[in-house]
Formats: sequence, structure tokens, C-alpha cells
Amino acid sequence: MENNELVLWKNTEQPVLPKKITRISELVNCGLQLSIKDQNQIIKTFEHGSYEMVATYTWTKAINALRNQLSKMGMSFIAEMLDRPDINEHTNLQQAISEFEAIRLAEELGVISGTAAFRLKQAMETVTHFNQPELEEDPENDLTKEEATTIIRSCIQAVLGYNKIEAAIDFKNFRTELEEATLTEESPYLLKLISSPYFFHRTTIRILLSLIKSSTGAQLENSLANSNLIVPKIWNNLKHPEKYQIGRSYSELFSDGKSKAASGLRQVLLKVKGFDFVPEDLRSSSFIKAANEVLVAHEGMNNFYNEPAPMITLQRMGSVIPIPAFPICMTAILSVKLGNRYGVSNAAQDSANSMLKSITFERWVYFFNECLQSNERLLYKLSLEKTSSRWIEYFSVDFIEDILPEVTKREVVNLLKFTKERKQDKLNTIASNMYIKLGYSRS
Amino acid sequence: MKVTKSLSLRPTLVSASVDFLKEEDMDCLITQDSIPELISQLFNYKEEGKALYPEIYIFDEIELIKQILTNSQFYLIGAGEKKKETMLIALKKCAPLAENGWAIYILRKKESFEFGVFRAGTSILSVSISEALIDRGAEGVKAILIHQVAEKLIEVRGIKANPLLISYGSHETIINSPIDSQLNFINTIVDKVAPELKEPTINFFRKVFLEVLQKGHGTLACVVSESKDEISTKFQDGIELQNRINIPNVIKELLNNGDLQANSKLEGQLSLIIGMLQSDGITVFTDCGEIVSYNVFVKHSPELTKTVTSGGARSRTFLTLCEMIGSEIKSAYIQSQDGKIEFSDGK
Repeated sequence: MENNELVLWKNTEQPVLPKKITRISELVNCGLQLSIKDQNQIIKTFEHGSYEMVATYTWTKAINALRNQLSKMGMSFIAEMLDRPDINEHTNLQQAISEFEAIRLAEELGVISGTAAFRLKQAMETVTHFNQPELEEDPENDLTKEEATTIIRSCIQAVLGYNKIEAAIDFKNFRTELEEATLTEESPYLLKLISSPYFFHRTTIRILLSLIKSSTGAQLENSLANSNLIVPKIWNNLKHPEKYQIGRSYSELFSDGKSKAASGLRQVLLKVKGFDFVPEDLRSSSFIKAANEVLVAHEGMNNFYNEPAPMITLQRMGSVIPIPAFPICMTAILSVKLGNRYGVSNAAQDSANSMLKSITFERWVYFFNECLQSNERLLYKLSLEKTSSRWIEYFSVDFIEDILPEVTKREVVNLLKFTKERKQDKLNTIASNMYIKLGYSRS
Repeated sequence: MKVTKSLSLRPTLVSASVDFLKEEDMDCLITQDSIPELISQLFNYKEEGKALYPEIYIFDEIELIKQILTNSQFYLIGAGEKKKETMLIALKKCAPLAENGWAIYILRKKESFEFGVFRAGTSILSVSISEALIDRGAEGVKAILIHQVAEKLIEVRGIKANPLLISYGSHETIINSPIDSQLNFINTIVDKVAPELKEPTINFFRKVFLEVLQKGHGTLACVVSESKDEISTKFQDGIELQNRINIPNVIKELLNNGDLQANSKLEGQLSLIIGMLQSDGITVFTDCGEIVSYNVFVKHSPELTKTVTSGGARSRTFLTLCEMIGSEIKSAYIQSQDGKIEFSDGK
């Protein structure tokens, strides 16, 4: 990085939409990515009072533009950043990644600001809610003019208002540095990285893995040398999902015959004694793929209808989840169980409950000690009222009392205590703080 | 009275083994005594009249090696006292199983030896055992490989020490392992292959050429430039494939889809190419990993026909190919039945 400063990557080049713009026509005219035809249609439909239709249309335009922009960064890079081994160069990103993933990734890379991400998530939830086919025809269930205006404003402010949105310059420099230069022990950048929030550690690992998998020649040499320097420095603080991501990458490189990259990563794993995180076979990849399909359904439109099929597929794969796939499977199962602020998919509950029932006590301990603390999806849900109330409902007091002595992470202990005491406000606050500590903006 | 002069290779082999093991930090009195025995057994190793080319790995730690070789399978076949005879039993019991990617392991434990067979990887493209443990091995993971690389030629490789090459043939001293010459030739086959597909394509062709070498069949091959519109008319006497077999394309398909169909396609092509290389005549490759034709015969120049060479027709053809380097072809490769391998790219 040019100034050696590590702050959350921010795109400072984006102008702010003036607050005083409130008229819909003025607002829509700021949507540089919208064609004149689109702009006219939005204004017309809005003035006609079809708020739900216009909000959904604008939202779809915005999220597709965001995904399109992300796909330009390279599919292998996106796959690694999202820890999605099922995505490759031929994947249609518009279908493969959920709206939540697109927003989260855009925030992580500084494509959009934390506030814009927050607003887009709100817009996403509102649009998703009002598009549920089972909503009864009742005036109360109609999207209001104000809600539609807020959604349109959020979409234009975050995405559609710019000709082109790009990753923050800082982020680009950071990625280039890891690829084009070999860092040294004395590099001030390295020292700052070590003391940075977990989010940076995870992103650094993911960038390095993406470079190792896709580059050749001098760039590959640099990426391997930087991995050899950086990974041992942050290994002890890495959570198991990230450690498994490194192990799985080694296994994939080995299987694909990428000798040099596999050999370089082997040196890193030997250095950190990390071979326990290399999956014995590729069975875990099938579970990871199935769990991601659940999450794509859960975080997409009509989620209550779309969740049951992938959830049943995941359940049929067997009750013993391979440990490398365990974190993402738990995220998928608990996402279905906790639902969103508008409810849960009833038809998916049996499969989710059945899988939760088969989780052993030891696996729960592992989940609380190694997975929850860095799981932004679940922490986000626990910071919200409705979803956290379902969390409280699920865990019995007896279960929490049994498991508490085994949990070593202070924040998770407190989170469980608030769950046991049914103190929902405190649970929301601690989950929100943990989410922010990861490096994200306030949920 | 005539005095019989006794000649034995054994003292030389023992001495070389001692130095080798020391350099590898794997010193062991029993191993240093066993390596010469294994070498002499491997030379022309046959079971029921069938020549076998097992790879024997010796290591001291198995759990880490299992983790390094992902998707590996290990089968324990037996165990015995820590003595030379156990190593020889290991060879005898496991050699018939050590084909199609399976190799023999001997695990040196504190008080005993354990042995069995193992393999690694998910497809033909996967990094080979020798590459993972030896060629790109890590110093912390000690391992030794002993194998017959060509007829009457045994190689002992480790991670740190210089390899030992023991020839029982009539050749003069062999300086380079035939595997190195093979690799040089393969590098010209993949010269113009996309960078991201180069390593998997090299792995594929390594397996092809190793198998041809181990089957003890002679072969001739050359590489032509893909950029040339037409192949030299000198290669017309042969079987030109209507559709060239493009290995990097199938590899790309396998890497992208990771499905059984692509893997089975690649396996099919592996055996087809091996068959072509075992046919009489020359197999013609392009520098972007394609197979153009096989069973190709070229006319020898009148000067060459008169030249006295130690080899037969194949050696003369190789010399003819060498004369074409720089104009019609980029490189030439010969492997004779007796294990002699030569490569030339005119440099």
C-alpha cells in the first residue's frame, strides 16, 4: 500500500447524492447507469403508484450491476473471496452468488461504503419481503411510497449513480503488492497487518490463495513467498474455516497437477504444522457446494419457496458432515432455522431441525469456539430482533449450561449467557459488536 | 596357476549408499546394507517372466506423508524385523501390485519395518508421488525413491543428496537420468501451451513417457511447430490423424468440470498415445501439446545410410530427425529397447 496504512478499504472517489434531492424524477436522473428509457419507466411507474413493481425493478437493476462489476475482477478471485470452490470461470455470477454475498463482497473490497452496504441490505430485505407470494392481499402488505423512495435512493446512491464502480484504490494496490513484490520481515505493512481486524487477515489469505491458484511465473513466486512470510505470522489467530480454506486449496492444487503452487503451499503448511487442515478426500467439497446452494436460496428472492429443495439435498448427503465443510454447513442450516426478519421457510424446517439434532456435543463446542466468532452471516442475524429471538428459542437453558464450561472465547461465552438469560437486547448488541469487530460497518 | 580375479559391485554400492543416506539425514546400518540388495533385485526384476518396474519409497514417518499426498490410499501388506530380509520381502510381496500408479513403501519404525502399497491423487493430472515427495520434496519430510528408470538402469533419489544412477548395461557412464531427457522433450511439447495448463500437461506426458519407458519398448518422437501451416512432406508416410488429439483442451475440460466424463476421456487418450508411441515409426507432436500423426517413416539420406552406427534403423531415423531440427522440426526424441534415451533440440 502506498501509505502503509491499513484502514478498511474505502472508495473515496464516489460523490455523495445530495440530501436535498427528494423528488423521484431528480433522484432517478442521478442514476447514470440507468438508460433514459429505464429512467422514464421508473418515474412513470412510481407516479402511477406501482411502488412494489418499481422498487423491485430498480433493486434488480442495482444488484445485477453490482454483480456484473464484481465479475470483472475475475471469477477465480470471486470464488476465493467468497470461499466458494463451486464457482469457476464458466459460472454465471448473476445466478451463482446471492444478493447478500454480492453486497458483502462489495463492502469488503471497498467497492461500496459500509453505509451503502447497510442501506442495500435493508433495501434487499424490504424488496424480498414484499415479493413473497404468500403475503395476503391486504393494504397493510403493500409497499409504501416512502419505502419505495428509500429503496430507489439506496440503489442509486450505492450503485446506479456511478458510471462505473470499482474496488477501492487501496485494495487494488494491496492486491498488486502481494502479487508483484516480495514483502520482508521488516515491511511496516506486515506489522500493521498483524494488528488489524480479523477481516484483513481473512481477506489477505483469500487474495493470496486466489493468486496462487491463478498466477504463473514471477507472480506465482511472489505470491508463494508472501504466503510463506505472512501465513505463519497470522496462523495462530486464524479461525478454522480459513485454515481449512488453505488446506483445501493445497488439496485442489495437488489434484489439478499444479506442482509448483502445491509445493509452495506445502512449505507453508509444513511451517505452521497445518496438515491437519488438509481434507483427506474431496467429499467435503460436495457438502460445501450443497451448503452454498442453500445459502443462495436463503438470501435470494422467494427464499421461503426456494429453501426446502437444497436443504433436503444437504440433509440427504448424510448426517456426518466432513469437518472442513462443517462451518459453511452450520451457516446454511442455522440460516434456514433462524430465517430472516419476516419469518422462516416452514417447509425447510424439518430438514434443518433434523440436521441440527444430529450435531454432536463436541461439534457444537467446535462451532462455538472456532466458527461463530468470525461468521458474519450468523452474527448479522443475531444482531436482528426476529432472527435472534428464534436463536434464543432454539437453545435450551440446559444445553447452554452444559456447553458453557467448554467454550473458551469470552465474547461467545457472553453471547451464550445472554441467550440463556433470554436477554435479547444484550444478545443483539454483543452480536453487532462482534460483527463490527470483524471489520464491517454497523448492521 | 591362474588366480581368479573377483569383481563385485557391492562395495561400491554400499559406499555410495552410506554417503547418500548421510546426506539425506537418513543414516541406518540396515538401510545402507539393503539398498545395494534392492538395486540388484530391481535390475531386470521379473515375476512369472513379466518385467516389473516398481517404485520403492523408504520413509520414517507415514502420517504426515498421508496428509501431503492428498486423496491417497495406503494398504499395509506386511511387517517384519528391522533387517535387510524384510526389505527384500517387501519388494517380493508388493512388486506385482505396484502398477498403474501404485508404489511400494517401506516404513522404517524404531524396531521394525512395515511395508505396503500406496497411491495418490484423483486423476491423471494430479501431482505424482515422486514429484511431491522427492523432486519438490521438503527437507522436513524425509523420503528416498529407488526404481528402475529404464532397462538395466536403476536410480536412487532423495531430497537433498545427488541422485545415484546405477547402470548394468553396456553404455558408457550415464551422466543424466533418462527421466531428465524425457522431461526436456516434454518441455518442447508444451512450449506453447497456455501457462495455466502447462504443469498439468507436463504431468500427463510424464506419465505417458514413463509408462512407455517402463514397458521397455523403443520409441521415436518429434515436435513440430504448431504455427506452421503444414507439416513437412517428409512426414507423409504415416497415419495422420484427421482430428488432432489436443491434450491441453481435454485437461482444461477436466479442470473446469472436474467430472468423470472428462477424466475418462483423458484416461482413454493416455492409453491411445501410449499405443501410438509403441507403434513402429515416429509419433509427431506439436509444441502446443497436440498429437498430429504416428507410425510415420522418413527416408534416410544416402550419407546416413552409409554411416556405420551402433544402433539399428531407429538410431538412423533419430539422426535423420536431428538433421531436420531448426527447419522442419523443433526437437527429436529416441528411446531404444535397451533403455538408451536421447533428446535433441539442436541447442
